[in-house]
Amino acid sequence: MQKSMGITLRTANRGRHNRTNQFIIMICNKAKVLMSAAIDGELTAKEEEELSDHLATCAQCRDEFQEAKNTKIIIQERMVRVKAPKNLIESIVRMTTVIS
Amino acid sequence: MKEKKKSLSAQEELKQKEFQKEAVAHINALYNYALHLTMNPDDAEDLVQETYLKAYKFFDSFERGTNCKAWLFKILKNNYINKFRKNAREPGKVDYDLIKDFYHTIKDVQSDTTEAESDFFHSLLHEEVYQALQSLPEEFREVIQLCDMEGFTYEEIANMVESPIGTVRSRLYRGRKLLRAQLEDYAKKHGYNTENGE
Repeated sequence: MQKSMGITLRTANRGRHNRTNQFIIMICNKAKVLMSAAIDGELTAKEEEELSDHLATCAQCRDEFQEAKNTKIIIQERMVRVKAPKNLIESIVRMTTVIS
Repeated sequence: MKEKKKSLSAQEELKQKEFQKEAVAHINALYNYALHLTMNPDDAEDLVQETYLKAYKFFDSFERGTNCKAWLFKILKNNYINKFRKNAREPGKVDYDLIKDFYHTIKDVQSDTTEAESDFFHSLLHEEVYQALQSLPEEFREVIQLCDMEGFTYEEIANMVESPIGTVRSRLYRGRKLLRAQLEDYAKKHGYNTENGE
């Protein structure tokens, strides 16, 4: 409740409620760090809940979360992957046979 | 005495079979990792070969049931540090000519393989993604590669890069932030700015 109230205040009272703003910025900054780990499924249950609560009230962070997911997808889909040369595979198989 | 020799040999045979099943299966991933570390196909081959040689020698110390790929990556990384790191560029310094040369080298490597042509040409269209990743400071690029391309958990990555899990988490966050800024136009151009990605 405190969080959602803070989020509402963010734009309305910019510059006047410095403490509240600092609190909100801190929440958004923390959420951004959590997002990265959330994409990898590496959050604790408590952190997951915390992030989910924040995303429910902050449209800007929701957009950023989507962008962060897209960045991971781009890397997964677009990075060049090559196959190991055949001679390398053969030499390794041979090597493990010869050294016994 | 004869009997003992025979049983040792059977044990070795079993080790061989297990090694080839467990470890050789990850050769493509290891070769890619080695290529990205060394930026040179010959050095990458040497590094992979040495990694497998060492891995085979110490296969008994591999904890069964744990991630063999992570174990091999760790060996490769250690080998790389011992062998090449002393002469490597400093983290954070980006040599764009080197990146470009390397990109063209791996394109040649790939064209020698049996990879489907459509996949190959498809990947060429996205050189900017490759360059964006390569331009990141090494400490960020490494964790992104290990996490996003290789699918390792934070714990496995932390073990590989010999840093606490919190550091891995923070590097991923910071690296991705840099990467996102660089790929903003790319994401828009290729339709990644929608809800469901491309």
